[in-house]
Amino acid sequence: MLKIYKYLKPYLFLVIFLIIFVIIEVISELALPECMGDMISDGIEQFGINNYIPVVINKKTREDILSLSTQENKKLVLKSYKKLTKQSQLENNIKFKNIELDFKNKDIYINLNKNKKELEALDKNLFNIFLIFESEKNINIKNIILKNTGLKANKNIIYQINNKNNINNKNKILKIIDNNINKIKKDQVSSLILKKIKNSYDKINLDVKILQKNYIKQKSKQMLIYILLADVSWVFIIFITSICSSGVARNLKRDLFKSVMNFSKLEIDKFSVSSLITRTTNDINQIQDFIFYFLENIFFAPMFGVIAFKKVYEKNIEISWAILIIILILLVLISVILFLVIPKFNLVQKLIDKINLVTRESLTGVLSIRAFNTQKFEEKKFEERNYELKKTKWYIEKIMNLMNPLIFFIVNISMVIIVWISYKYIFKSEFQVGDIIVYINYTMNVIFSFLMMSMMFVEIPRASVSARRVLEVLNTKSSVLDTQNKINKADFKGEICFKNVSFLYPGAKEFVLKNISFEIKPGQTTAFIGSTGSGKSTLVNLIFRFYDVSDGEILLDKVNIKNISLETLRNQISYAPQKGILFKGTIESNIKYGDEKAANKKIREVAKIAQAQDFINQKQDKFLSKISQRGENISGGQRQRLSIARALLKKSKIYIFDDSFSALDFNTDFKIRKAISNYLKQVAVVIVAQRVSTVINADKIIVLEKGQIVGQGTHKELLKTCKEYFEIASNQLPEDLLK
Amino acid sequence: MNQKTDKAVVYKLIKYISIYKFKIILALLFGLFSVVINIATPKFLALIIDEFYRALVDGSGANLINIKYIINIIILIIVLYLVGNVILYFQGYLMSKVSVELTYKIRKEMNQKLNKLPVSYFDKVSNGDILSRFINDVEAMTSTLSRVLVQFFSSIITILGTLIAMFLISWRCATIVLVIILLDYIAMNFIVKRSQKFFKAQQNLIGDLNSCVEEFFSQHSIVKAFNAEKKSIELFEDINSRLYKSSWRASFFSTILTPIVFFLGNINCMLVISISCILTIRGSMSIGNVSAFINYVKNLNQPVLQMSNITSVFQKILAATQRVFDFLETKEEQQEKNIIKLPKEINGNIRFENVCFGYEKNKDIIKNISFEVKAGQKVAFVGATGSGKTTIIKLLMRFYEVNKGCIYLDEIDISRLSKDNLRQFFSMVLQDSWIFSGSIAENIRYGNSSASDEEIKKAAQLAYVDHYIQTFPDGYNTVLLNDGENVSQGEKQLLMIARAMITDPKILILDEATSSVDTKTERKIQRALDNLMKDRTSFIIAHRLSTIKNADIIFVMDDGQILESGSHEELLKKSGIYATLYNSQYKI
Repeated sequence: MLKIYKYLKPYLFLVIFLIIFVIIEVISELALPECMGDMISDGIEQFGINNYIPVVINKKTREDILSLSTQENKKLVLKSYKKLTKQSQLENNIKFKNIELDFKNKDIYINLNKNKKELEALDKNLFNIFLIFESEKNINIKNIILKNTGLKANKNIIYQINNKNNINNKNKILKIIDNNINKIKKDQVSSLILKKIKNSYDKINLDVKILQKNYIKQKSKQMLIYILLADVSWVFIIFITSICSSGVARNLKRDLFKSVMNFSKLEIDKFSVSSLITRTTNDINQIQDFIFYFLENIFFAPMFGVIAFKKVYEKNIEISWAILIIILILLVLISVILFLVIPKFNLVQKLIDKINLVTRESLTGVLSIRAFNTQKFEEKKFEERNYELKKTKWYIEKIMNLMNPLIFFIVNISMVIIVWISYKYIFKSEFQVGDIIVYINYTMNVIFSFLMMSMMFVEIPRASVSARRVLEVLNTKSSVLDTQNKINKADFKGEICFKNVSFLYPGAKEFVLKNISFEIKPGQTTAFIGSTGSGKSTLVNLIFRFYDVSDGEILLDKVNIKNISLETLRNQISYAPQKGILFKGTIESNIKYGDEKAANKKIREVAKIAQAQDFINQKQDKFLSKISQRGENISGGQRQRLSIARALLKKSKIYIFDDSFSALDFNTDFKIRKAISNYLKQVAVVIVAQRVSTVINADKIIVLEKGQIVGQGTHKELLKTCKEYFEIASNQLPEDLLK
Repeated sequence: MNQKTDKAVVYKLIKYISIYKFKIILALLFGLFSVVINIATPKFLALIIDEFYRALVDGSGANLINIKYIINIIILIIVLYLVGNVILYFQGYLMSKVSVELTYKIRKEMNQKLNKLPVSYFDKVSNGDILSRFINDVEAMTSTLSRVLVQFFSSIITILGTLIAMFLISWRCATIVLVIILLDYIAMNFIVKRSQKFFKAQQNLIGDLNSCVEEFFSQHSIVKAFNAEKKSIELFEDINSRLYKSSWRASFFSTILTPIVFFLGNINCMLVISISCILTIRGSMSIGNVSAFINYVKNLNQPVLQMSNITSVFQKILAATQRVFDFLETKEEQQEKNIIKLPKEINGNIRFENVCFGYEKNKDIIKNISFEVKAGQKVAFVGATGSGKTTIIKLLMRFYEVNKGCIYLDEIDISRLSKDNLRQFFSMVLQDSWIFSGSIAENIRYGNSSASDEEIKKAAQLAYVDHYIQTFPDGYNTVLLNDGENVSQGEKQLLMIARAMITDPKILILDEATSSVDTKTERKIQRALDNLMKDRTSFIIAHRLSTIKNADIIFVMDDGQILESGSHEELLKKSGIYATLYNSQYKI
């Protein structure tokens, strides 16, 4: 699996972008619950008062504040709070209940400072000052505040401080008080102060609903920005993951296809064609899907979960413990269910294979089944497998159905738990009601990201099976390779010589070919005859170096073919295979496969030699008639004729016809052979056949049986010298030809 | 697929699954319950939050809170959740039951159907096609069907129910949610239409790529022999890079729906919160209801998303269902009427009288054939591929029914017999040996299920395969795998002969193998066949000269007609087509 990630390398740049977008998404997504919480807590519960700077204050409050301020703060307060005018009232959307304000009689001051830094300082200072006011009502706070100041707790603080005429002394005391206040937890007292501010608003009959609405509007705007950020980056994440996963799939497919194209027949046999096809298509698609899923979640899910958890942890340890326990329960639950079910998944696959097998057998044997009247027997066989499959599936379903309700139940209960825990903190004034919503949201986020990750881990084994299957192909090297000092000359005569050649499939016990020696000469027709499995086709494959010999050597013009480049070697040989194999395209494109640059006249000539002229001309589009995949839309005999034409078009020194006359009737077979022998002069012709009549005219017939040569010579010679040949011939030929 | 056929398939599907209607209705009812509970619980949570808030505002002390009230509600919520999820489990349980039963039932019916279809069906439809209907289509149809049904139903109920609950709390907020859902719908339609284009392109290119891979991999040696690797790679690369382009687009456009739905959901959430907050400030909504609203809006994302891909999922199901039903509805072999029963012992005289046959009208493959074969005669059919030899055999065994004319067995019209009755007097050995996975004994016994072990052994001896079987350590119990890959082709043919032998047929049909086996096995097969043909009427599709020469009658066929008939010597004397064919083959 890890090696697949190497295919992500070209996309490293994009992945970095991906991570950036993920970070943006996570941060914005997690800011949303806070915004919501703020709207409820600050907007509703705290009347839109979310800091310690009152928007407006009356003269008395202003004086109180100033009296408790240090020199610096005094300046700041004087700078920030200006007398309310009609204009500044309108600009800042300030309204009062019932009363039209008389600006001259009532002194109201409004905060017009917009400087962020100064506002921060003001916020802190005003908090301290308000707390000092508030401490008059709360002896515990007062005791803390007055530590080390030398002031007395049973007397009014403002009075005591203002009594110090010495400004330096006053500043000193205020600093000590500030230090003391820093030790107090802000959360525990802030609601007191906010209430104080609310009271001061009430005193001047300020309409707080306007403040609340303003606050909510502001928060909504903030939320909108976060939503946009989160979802736009999500779109980008999908964009990048789409490109990466499709790109990796494309590159994997390309590499796989290339390496299969370089394989020798040995590797193809080892993997089997159908398995190679599934690996190139299904397995890589599986990997593509996984990479998409993986990239989408691998950064997002953990980051999302961890940051959400961190946010809870910073505020409340008890809830974070609860979350951990919930996750642990989920983990155990999912593991147990998967542990019970996964082995059965494999069993289901096996049972489906079995059903597939039984059905396939019923289909291939349809005539036999009808002929033997064994339909009932077949139905019973199918029924057994079908029932077994049903039983296994039912077991899986019963357990898998538990998954959703259990997870939902745990998630639901965790909501209740959070509400319950919050309850305590609300009355310690550490929580606000809006916080409950925030915590529920974060908890859901943590659980959600955990579920996403566990889903990914469930997917990993499946994807890694596919990855392994693909890598297996990519890591296989062709067993037939060009040697270093290869010969690239072009003018071969076409003389082939087998010297004691043996061939054994790796791992097999029996030789397919044993100790084979013969020569193929230009200008002659050499024929191979033998039964199925006698090794004829393997022998042809060896000439092409589709396989390398296990022992002995094959020479082309006295040069070992291992020392000739594969391309040069194969340029010397033309090939018409056993099954007329065609490609999707037209008749012409198929014949032209033998020689891209061939003239039309030439194509027609070879088609005529291959006796394909007649059926081509009968078609509506003649040479441009469509050929479907594998040439399924024309008959076997027609396919063979086209593949013979294709072989003839390629200019070579050696022409091999590997059983390529088998689907032709005797007459056509005869005509083609005659035409070929007129067309192909001065070159070596090799014919592989099962029919004696096909090889009867050859200059040399080589008889193969069970991988060994049992006779070499002309037809007449062999009839006398080779018992096996006589046997084959007597089965197929009339008596007068057996002499 | 057009809408009309869609409708027809849906109708058939509903009819088909109506046997499970109680389970399905019950499951849907359960679905309704669990959705209602899901909608009700946020409302109860809201009560708790309101109680907290009330206590907070009234005075700030935990002792003011009505703890009993809170605990009661919490217990109620837990019970509701418990009941809801138990119901959810049973809903899943029922639907799984339906799905598992349905899969089982459909496969069973398909398998039974297999044996009722006329043989000609298998000439028209490839095995791969039928197999994929058995395996993939059934899976695609049943495994998703029940899930989709429930999902569809609960999504609609959730959306409707949540909307109702919202309207009960605040019509203003609910209206906004409704508008946003409509926007969702418009966005979905827009995107689905857009992505359809890429999906189609992708589907086509996947098809192209698969067939390209299949072509070049299975014809690997041709590519190599013609030094065309580079050309193939270029072709592949061309398709591959086009696929890449449409593939990332398709995956992008199909996934992008999720962020869009979530985006609208979030916007929804934002609007609802700000508006409900403002309503709360005015005092026309409680803070607990705000939290309930947030819950509701968040819970809407999933069902809305599910509704978005439900059409495409449903399309896939319908396509699979259509293919399954097409198979199940294929015209079956006609039921025989006015059946006559053959006597236990028959002679085996066969007579064809003006027999015509063709798959399509006016396109006869067999053209007005008449001939007579006496009991015990050996008949050889000679002719090129496609001349009609095999069709005659198939007509005789009533794999196909004649279009015109009659075939008589002992002067009884075979179309008036039941097929079982007719076929019990036949036995056949085909070109492609058919071995199924099972032991050797089972494979031989296939010809006669009541055959004893001794009879099997005797048949094997007569087929000259007994000795070979004994070489396996497990003897007759050796299991043959994967179309008998552990036995050679020649031995498979001998097993087929043994199988035919054990049926002890009156009439024998033989399709000689075209590919040869090694000379020793060839001799064995020849002798085994001689044993088999003894005293039986035999029809042979002949390839070997020796068989042809030994036949009592040779029928020379071409283009669905019998051109000549007679023994080898008679035909040679005639100097007709047979003679020219015979001589031309071996011209030197």
